[in-house]
Amino acid sequence: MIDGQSRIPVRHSALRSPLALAALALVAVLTALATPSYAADPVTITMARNADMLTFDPAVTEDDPSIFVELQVYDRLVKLNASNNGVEPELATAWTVAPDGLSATFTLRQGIKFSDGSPLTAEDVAFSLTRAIDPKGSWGFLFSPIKSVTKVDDKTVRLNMSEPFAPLLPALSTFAGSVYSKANFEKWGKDAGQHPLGTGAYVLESWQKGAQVALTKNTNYWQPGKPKVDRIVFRVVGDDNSRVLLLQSGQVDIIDFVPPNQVQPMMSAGQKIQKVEGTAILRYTLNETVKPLDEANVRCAMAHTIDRAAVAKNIFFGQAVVARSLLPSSTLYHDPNADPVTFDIAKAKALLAKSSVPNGFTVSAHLPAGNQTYQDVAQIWAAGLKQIGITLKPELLEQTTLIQMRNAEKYTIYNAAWTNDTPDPDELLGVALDFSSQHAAHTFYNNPKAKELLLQQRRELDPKKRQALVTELQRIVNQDCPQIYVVHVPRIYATTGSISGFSPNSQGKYSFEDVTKK
Amino acid sequence: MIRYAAGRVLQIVPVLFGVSIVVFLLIRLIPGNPAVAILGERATPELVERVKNQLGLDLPIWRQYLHFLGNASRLDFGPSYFYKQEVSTLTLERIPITLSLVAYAMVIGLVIAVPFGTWAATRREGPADHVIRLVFTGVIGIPTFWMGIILALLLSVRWKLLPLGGVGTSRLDTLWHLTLPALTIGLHVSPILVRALRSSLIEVMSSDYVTTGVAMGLRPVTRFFSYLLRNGLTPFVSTVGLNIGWLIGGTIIIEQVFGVPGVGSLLITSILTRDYSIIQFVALVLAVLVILVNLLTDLTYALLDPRVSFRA
Repeated sequence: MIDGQSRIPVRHSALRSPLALAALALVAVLTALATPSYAADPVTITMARNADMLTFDPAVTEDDPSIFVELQVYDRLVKLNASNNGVEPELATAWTVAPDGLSATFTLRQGIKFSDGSPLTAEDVAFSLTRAIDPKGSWGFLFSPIKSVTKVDDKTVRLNMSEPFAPLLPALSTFAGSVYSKANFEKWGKDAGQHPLGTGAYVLESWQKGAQVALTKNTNYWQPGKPKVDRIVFRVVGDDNSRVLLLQSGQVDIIDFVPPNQVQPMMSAGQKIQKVEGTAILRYTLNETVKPLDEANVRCAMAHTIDRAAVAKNIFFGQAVVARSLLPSSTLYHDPNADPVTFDIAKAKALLAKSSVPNGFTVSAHLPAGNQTYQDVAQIWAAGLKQIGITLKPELLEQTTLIQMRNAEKYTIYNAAWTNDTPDPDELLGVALDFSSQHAAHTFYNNPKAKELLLQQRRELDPKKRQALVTELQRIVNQDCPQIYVVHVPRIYATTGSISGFSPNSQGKYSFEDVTKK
Repeated sequence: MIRYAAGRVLQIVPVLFGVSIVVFLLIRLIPGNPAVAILGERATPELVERVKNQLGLDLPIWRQYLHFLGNASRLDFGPSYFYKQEVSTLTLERIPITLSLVAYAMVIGLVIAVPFGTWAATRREGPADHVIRLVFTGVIGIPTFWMGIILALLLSVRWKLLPLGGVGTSRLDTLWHLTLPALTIGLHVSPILVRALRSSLIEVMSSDYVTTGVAMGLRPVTRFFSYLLRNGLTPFVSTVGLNIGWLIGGTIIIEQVFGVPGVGSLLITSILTRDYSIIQFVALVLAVLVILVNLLTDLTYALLDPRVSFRA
């Protein structure tokens, strides 16, 4: 008998067994991991958001994820009140506007400290706001009549304006009016956007780019007893379904951008839905250099053919609300009853009969490829237009090409959602109706009366008179139809049942000062 | 062997040069001006001009490339316009996560493939073989992102066994967080591995030396590990190596689905925002990784089969 083992030697080496290979790979995995560690804290709220933030410098911020974190870290002179119809004190305890409306003086709250313990001074406020009003900055246009910000004494700052400026307080309540430490900003130079120092309820703990931003409670916060939660983690989860699954499995407490078709199932499963209705409007801009879109009768006839209720119900699963003005419904001085454009085929036919094209025509709409929602809305509109003899031909273009085409003013009909950054109507009305600024949102709508009213309402400090002016502007929009509004697109958040006090304001912005977790 | 490896590493240089030209031109073929993509709805003509000037996009394309090449030769890949941070720092800190995910997925793929591939090969044409082949053919037809969502729904939401992506608070915890994405990729790659292992084992089983070994009374364990598996692994290793290269690209979608902060999710965000400097750097890094994995595969090949020799 031959002994097989002695005649055929087998060399045993670690690399020759598949199990050993697997074990080696596992060791490689363990050693390759090089992620920073985070200390666990008693009460942490985790929010999954669809994108990461980019900067903590308000003057160059352009994206919502950055804005919403800046709101936690910095305070402003004033803040929007709970009912979204005015402002209340924050860093300023009182303010007066000069009788001629050309200056405003703010008295600062005393004893406020930055999160590192250093005191907040009038110099910090003047420095921050001087950067904010710079016309070269991203948000200078919000503050355009403000020419300078000066320190009067240790507890007073003054804003000097070229003309009376009604939207002043709402503009100061936005993130763009945030106040931060001058010394810290100068210390970090061009990296200041990565190293915030503010007086807000939270302090930056760590920021792992593209993964998560962690904030901890500011122990020097000026409001006693707040915030109630020790730590906030903003996780980046780009996929809509994954965010919903994370919430359902309880691995995160709050999510943003809930897909409208998931709202009902989530509510039945015990999650809380927070819907901000009046912040964005789905709308069409019409290029009036393309005939027959230069005729108001044609534009308004087209505007009356959109079955807005069907859009809200079928495309947004009942989560959107029919629009009755070009202004989002949460905007101050919004008026839903200034002869709104509604779905009315008979009226559309009557208007078209008065135009140069009573039997209809064919027109193209330029839509972003890949945005199914916009394409579905256009289909509902096309069905309505067909009833009055107009054929709508959708042309799909890549998003960036589309924006370029709109800017070059070579489009016919352009579709976008339009979001308000401040509760004041001045920003949106200015863009929509001022021909001298980008041809009134590239529509070429040029109405001298509208322009005059626009300037008047900006200077009008009496709220009642201003309401009348803004209502009149909304009525003009409804009569001339330079843009066609469809529905209020909701911004939808969801939280688990254990979160209370999370209530985003009318611009969809949220804070965590009063949020609690069971 | 060292000379051979050094020669192969040197080959990286011309390959990277080629990759850099292709990527450079390819991203400029995407319709749409990057300045407009960066600015989005806020793109006014003045702002677009300012951003184009900041990014050097107002120069002719050949000068843009030379500029890039000059900086790259000094290992300066510039800052990301979006993150306002050095591209190299931003990318390199994410590489460990992506590599861990790929390695973890491969381990899971192997843990699934080795027993099933062996089982199918030893029960060739039997019921077990047919069932295994049928099931794994089915698995290969499922898109990864869908499989990811279904696995998340079952393992994370319903049974609460695994965390749903993200990163953990420590290295071990991060590994735990990577389990679900790794399982998704591992499952997805396993059918290819099962089939490759099965066919190479069948080939070895019918070879003369195995028959001789059996005739000489070889113990089944020795026969399996030293005869079958070791020889069957040689062609299998090249399949594994090729698939690791493919997996490095394949993790991109899964990283996005599970919110894993690796190189893949960075690439997707950067393509959407036309962050040219990140796209260029990530493409170069991925090319280097694929070349290195191929080299490692060839070296492992030699360890498994002494007949393979290296010539530079």
